[in-house]
Order: sequence, then C-alpha cells, then structure tokens
Amino acid sequence: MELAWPQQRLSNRQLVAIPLVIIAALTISMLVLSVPLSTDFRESGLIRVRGLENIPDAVAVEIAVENLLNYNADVDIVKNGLDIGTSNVLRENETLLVKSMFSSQFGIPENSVTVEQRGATITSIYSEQAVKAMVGAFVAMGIIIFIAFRRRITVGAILLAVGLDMLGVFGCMALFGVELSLASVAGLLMLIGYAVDTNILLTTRVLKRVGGEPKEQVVDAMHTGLMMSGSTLIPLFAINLLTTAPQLYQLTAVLIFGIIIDIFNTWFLNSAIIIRHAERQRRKEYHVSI
Amino acid sequence: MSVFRERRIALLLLTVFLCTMLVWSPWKAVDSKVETAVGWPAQYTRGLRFGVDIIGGSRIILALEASHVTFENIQDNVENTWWGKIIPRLEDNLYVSVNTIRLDPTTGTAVAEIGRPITENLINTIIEGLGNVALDPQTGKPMIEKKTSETMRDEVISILGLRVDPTGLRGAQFRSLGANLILYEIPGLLPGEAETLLGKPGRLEIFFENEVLLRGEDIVSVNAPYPSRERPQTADLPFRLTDDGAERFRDAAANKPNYPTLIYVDRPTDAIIVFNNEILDELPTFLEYDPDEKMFKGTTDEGMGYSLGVPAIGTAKDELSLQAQEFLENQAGFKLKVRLLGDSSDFSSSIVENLSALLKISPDSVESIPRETAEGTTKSAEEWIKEACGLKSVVIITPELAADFAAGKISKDLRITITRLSVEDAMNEARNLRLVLSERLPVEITIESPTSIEARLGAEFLKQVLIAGVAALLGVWVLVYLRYRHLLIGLTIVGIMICELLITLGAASLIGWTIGLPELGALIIVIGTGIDHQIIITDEVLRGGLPQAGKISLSGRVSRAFAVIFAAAATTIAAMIMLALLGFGAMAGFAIITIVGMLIAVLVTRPAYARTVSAIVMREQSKAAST
Repeated sequence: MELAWPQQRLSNRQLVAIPLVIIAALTISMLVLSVPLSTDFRESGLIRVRGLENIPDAVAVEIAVENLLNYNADVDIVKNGLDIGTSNVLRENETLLVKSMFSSQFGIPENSVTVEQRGATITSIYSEQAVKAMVGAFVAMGIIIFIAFRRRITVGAILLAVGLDMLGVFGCMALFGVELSLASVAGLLMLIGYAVDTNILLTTRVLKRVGGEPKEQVVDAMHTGLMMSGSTLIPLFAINLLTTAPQLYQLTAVLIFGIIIDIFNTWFLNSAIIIRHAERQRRKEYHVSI
Repeated sequence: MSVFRERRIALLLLTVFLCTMLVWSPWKAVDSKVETAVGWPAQYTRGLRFGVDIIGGSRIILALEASHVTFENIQDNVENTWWGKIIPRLEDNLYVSVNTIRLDPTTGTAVAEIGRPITENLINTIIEGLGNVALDPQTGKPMIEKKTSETMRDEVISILGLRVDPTGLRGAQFRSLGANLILYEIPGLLPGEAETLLGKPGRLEIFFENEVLLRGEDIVSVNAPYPSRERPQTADLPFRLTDDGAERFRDAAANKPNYPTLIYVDRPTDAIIVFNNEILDELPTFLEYDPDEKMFKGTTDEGMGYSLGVPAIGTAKDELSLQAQEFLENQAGFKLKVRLLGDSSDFSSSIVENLSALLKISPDSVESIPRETAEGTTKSAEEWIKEACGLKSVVIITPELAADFAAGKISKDLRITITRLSVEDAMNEARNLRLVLSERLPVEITIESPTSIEARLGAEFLKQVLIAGVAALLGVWVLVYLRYRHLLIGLTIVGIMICELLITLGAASLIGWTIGLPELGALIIVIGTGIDHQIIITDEVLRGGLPQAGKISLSGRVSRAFAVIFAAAATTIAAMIMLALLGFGAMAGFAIITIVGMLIAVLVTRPAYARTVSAIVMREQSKAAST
C-alpha cells in the first residue's frame, strides 16, 4: 500500500481535519482524566527507619508497605536503616498502621520509624522558571524559523504543529497514565527538537525546491519523514519494552506518543497548510508572468 | 581516492578517538563505587560520572532552624514600634534577618519569622518594654513554633542548589521534608564529601574591642585566596567592604595601631563552652581563662588583650563544679546549646546529663567538639578553644592602616590572614572561608542525618540497557536495509550512530555531566534522532528527490540536504540555549548536553557521513558507466 495515499487523494480540508480531530479527542481526555503528576511535582511520603543492626530485605519491605497502603513504594538502603518513599503522603491512621506493621512483621520498634511529608523536587521557584524557559524556547524557535524561511505562514505552521504535538502528548499521558516527572519533561523537551526536524524537512522540500507540484513534493518528503520517524521509534520501543526503570519508561513513552502524533501534525496538518500556501503562490506567480 | 584520507572523515575519526579516551580515562583510578555497582564496565568508563540510581550516593537531611513567633502588646504606635524599634533590636541581638509575616496594628500583634533557635526569655529580654511573646490562651505556652515559611524554604533550596550544583551536571537534588527539613541527595559522593560541597552556612562577624563592628552584609566580595609572601604557612584572603562598612571600620580603628580584630564565622551565640579544667595547664602564655568574665582571653604579640566572645565554664572530669552549676542555672533560657570540649571519654556521663538538666535543654543540644582532627592529628588546646568559639583569625591593625585611618582615609580592601600547619592547610581553610563568606543563607541550617544510599538498580539494569542498545542498532540497520537495499549504506549509518554515541559520552565526560537514568535514555535516543539527518542526506543523494532534480550535481544535492539539517539544528540549539539560560539545574544540564551533541553532530559526524555516502554513490556510478 502506498503510505502517502491520503496526501494524494484527500483535499486539504480533509487532511487538516484528521489531526485536529485526534488532538481534540486527546485534549478532551487530558481535561477529563488529567495528567498524573509524579512525586517530582507533588508532595509524597517518606518513611525513615533508623538504628537497625540487621537491615531487612528491601524487596520484602517494599512488598509489605505496598500491600499495606496501596501506594507505590521505593526502598533505599541507607547506613543502618531504610528510607521508603511512598507515592502519597501518609495520613495519621496510615502512619500508625505502618509502625505497627514494622514491629509485627520485621520486629522493628515503633520509635525507630518516622514518617515525614516529602515536598516536590520542583518547587514553586523552579516551576516558574520552567514555564519561562519553555515559552523562551518557543520564541527562540520561532525567530530561527523566521530567519530561515522569511515567511510568517511557515513560522505559524511549524509552531502550531509543535505546540499541538505537546498538547497531544499530554492527552496520551492522561490516557495511558504516564506520570509527569523530570524524566517526562526531558522527553517533552527532546520532542521539540525532534518535531522541528520533520516540519523543517517538509517546509524546505516544498518551498525552497524548484520543479514539481507541491503535492508531489509533500509525498516525496513524507517518504523521507516516515523513514525518520520509524528509525527513531525503533530505539524508543527497544528501551520502553526491554528496560524496567520507571523514569526510562516515562521518557520513552512521551517520545513515542509525540512522534506518532507528530506524523499526523506534520504530514496532514502542516502539509495541508503548506500545500495551500504554495499553490496560491504559484497562481500569483503565474498571474504575474501572464 | 580513499575516503579515509578525506579531511572530514579524518576529523570524525580523531574526535571519536579523543572521546573514547575521555570515556575510558585509563590514567584515572577506577571508582570503587562504580565497580561494585556495575562490575567490569567500570574499567572502561572511568571518565564518566554516574547517577544515584546506578551507583548510589549520599542523602543528607538538613534542618532549617527557623521559628515563627507571635508578638503581642506592641506599645505606642504599633507600626513605628515594630519597624523602628523591635525589628532592629531583634536583628542586632540575634544576628539574623527577621521577616515579618503578619502585622496587625489594631490589636498590637505581629508574627515574625526568625532564622535561628530562640526562646521566650531571650526574645522578651531583647524587646523589653516594647512588647512580648504571646502566650497560647489554651495551653499557656509561648507561641513559638518551629516552622519555615514556604518562601524561605524555597529560597534556601535554590541557594543551596546553586551552590552545590550550579549547572545541574552533578545531578544533586533538593526537596523539602515536613515543615522545616530539606532532603539533599547527590550521586557518587560519600556523606562527608556531600557535606563539604554544601558549604557550611556561614555567619560572619568581625569584632573590634569586644563589640561586633562588621557583619556578613558589610562585605561586598571575597576574592581568591593566595599564599602569603610575608609569612610562612599562611594564606591571605582579600575581601572588600561596603562604603558604610569601611567608614565604620575607619572610625573605630583610627589611631589604634596593633589593636586586634577578631573574625568569627558561625560564632555560637546561643551556646556555652564547657571544658575540662585540665586543659588550662596546656594553654600557651598568650591565652588564659578569666573566671570572672567566664571567657577565654588572648594577648597579641604586641601585648594587646582580647576576649573570645563565647562564655565558657570549666569543670572537673567527674563532677560539675559548684561554680559551673550556678553559672549554667543562671543561663537557662538564654543559652540553648552546650559545646563540650571532648567526648564521653573525657567527661563522665553524669556531667553530660547534669549539663542539659541545669540549662533546661535536651541532651541532643550538647555538642561534642572532638580534639582529633579528621586527619587523625590532635589539636592544640588553643586551636581547640578557637574552633569551639568559631574564631577564624585574629588580625592586627597595622600601624600604617591605623595612621591612614586617622588621616581620614577609607580603605575598602582588606585581608584576612590565616596561619595553619602548612600552606596547603591554610589555603584550604581560606578557600572554605571564602565559600562561607560568598553566599549567605537567610536562615541557620544544621545537618541532621548524613547517610549513604545504595544503588537503586543493579548490574541487571545495565544488562537491560545493553540489550536495548543492541536491539535498537539491529532494528535500525534492518529498517535502513529494507528501504535502501544497500548493505554498505546500512553499515555506514549504524557505524556513524555508534560514533555519535561515543562522542556524546565523551562530551558528557568532558563537562562532568552526571549520567543518571533519564540521561542514559537520552544517550540511546541519540542513536535514533541522530539518524534522522542521515536519512535526509541519504534520500537526497540516492534519489535526488524529483525527476528534474536528477540534473543537479551530487554536491548540490548534499548541500540541499544540509540546508534542512542546519535549519533544524539551529532551531533546536536556539530552544536549548533559552533553556540553559532560564532553566534550573536539571533542565540546564539537559540543555547543555543537547547543544554540545548537536554542534558536534552538525559540524563533524553529518559532514563525514555525507562524504562517505557520496563516495559510495560515485563509485557505483563510475562502475555503472564503465560497464
């Protein structure tokens, strides 16, 4: 089957409609389900066990705490003790439960267990900076694209495509329950760089190249673009499926969502905008030359 | 002509070689922590720094010593009294800044945040006649709450973050814990090293004629220390005063040649020193104990006397002397800590208990100052006492300076002189002092529990990453082969990918970037995203895009591919520069490594790849032409 048949057969309006419908659906899912935050962004619990001579098995403790509380727990072995991070802040009755569990199951006296409320890694000062940095990054991108192509329409189309990629990724994260953490933020940032690649490829091929109909040029660029996306997806899937660390899962999941959504935003939405723009330009040139 | 003679290819090979050497760093010792965590690969990754997840690290809990105090019965015009009298008096006596959280002029009450340990007695004595600490109507206890406001906490976190890990390359992490604790985590370091990096939260005071003359805020800047040219085993630390500070200094020191100036860092204003009477026999002639003033007193070479500004009391080894008991009882409520010269072997345990009981403090507030240094040597009695007082150095006003001052000259640039056993020790001390003076925290912090943490993921995880890496390389190779049906091109693409991976690792090693989990993922993704540009080049070279484009020369097609690549790379770099400038730690580090990787890719690997593919295509074209 020819991969580029929608671009060859469908009208511009139909092309634009497909990604917009997808993004709209994902936006709704984001609003309804909301993206879960990791403990980097919200408060969580920390159980500190100190003054132990024999440290119990970390896995056993993890299972015991998770069964007791229904929260995720990460156990760190520290010098003569354990630090157990929990995905939620412990309520008072839960604190008592944990203490009695430690004394009954592991023979650890209740006074060696303390329970604390752990703050977010990203404090308010940081998140303010992060938002500024993201906005700054978009502005810088816009300026460079404008310098490269000297057309407002291309800046708008590329930024629109990258922005919608982000929106779509948030929707997918909500849908699949991928947490927003420092790792997934890193993924979102990498996505900026990646999404720009395909969009610039498309714009250059259509606007800067002589000869051929815009549609043909889009189809040709799309073959290259899909190959690029495919070759990026392979390592992403390899990490996502073959490793077990949650941070790597979040990072790769964000990029996999982003690249798949970017295929639609670049080759349906942005290409329709560019084709329309290029065809109008040709008509103008044709008119002038007559 | 062989492609290997080509300049671009040679550049690539050279870069790859250099980066491999950087990663391997055979001249460095193998980090034992890395070796236990990941096994044999530690041999070949000596130049890399790994994150907490992979090799473990240190976790330190810091306590912020701030309290929220409620005041009531503020006299007269509430606002004037509060801002004009109470706040300055508190700041002058407590040596910390006082933040007003709430002021209610109609009821004459206020809540303030004070960044150090305090008691009701202490505050009430300071503000006598102006107001008092409110009592809780239900429990009758003073309304002093150990608590830190969110703004203060976030400010401390960001100052510490900047101090420990300004670029985010070390992978340090700070987060709040409960109402007044901070959790600090850093990969690969022992707790002691992590503490050093934290820098002691320093509070500087310069005493002249037994009064505080200058404080930390009077210091504009502290320059790098240098070994003294005049005296052996001595380092000089130059610093600059504010106009106001310099003027005060001149007024005080004019016509006072040879007067001593005492420089304290973190003078324990809330502590009493308790020492064993036996050490008095060891004191040098220029240091003695004054039992009336309950302070140690020193004499300079020129015969001028000075007091060490922390009260001290001597006792026998087994029993508290009557004098000591009386003194401690008097100080209850005013002093909150005891600095014990020596440990449990130097004093009987009943003494330690008695101390805290008499002073009405918890036994935890009795801090023991060991006589042994970290290197295992024994401090002299003089050094020991000075350390307990926080006295860093005694500087003599030179006759020239005193004469200059008397003539009305203001000198803003001054020097702290530090003498130790060796020049290196003195320089180290000077460097620490500089760190302490350069960045001050709005609140006192204490280190509560330094521990080391073990790696969260073991060698098993590294195996997973390796398998994923190989799977990714194979997968990409198959995909490229299916598309171009060309063995050599597939091999070149995979080869360039491996080169980019090595180069990125080399760059990480060069700038000391900590490779944690997200970074490890990012490195494997380099395999995937780097290939994008190679595909753009291959498509242009092989197919020339459109029928008409076939007429364009090979080099023309390559340069067209580079138009796309440059624009894309420039956009990403611009976005990442914004992140590096505006973002905080973790994000800035990510941005820096992306920029470096991108630049190397665009300048070195992509041109080399383009050259190789062109050579392959040209060879085939000439083969086709000859047949």
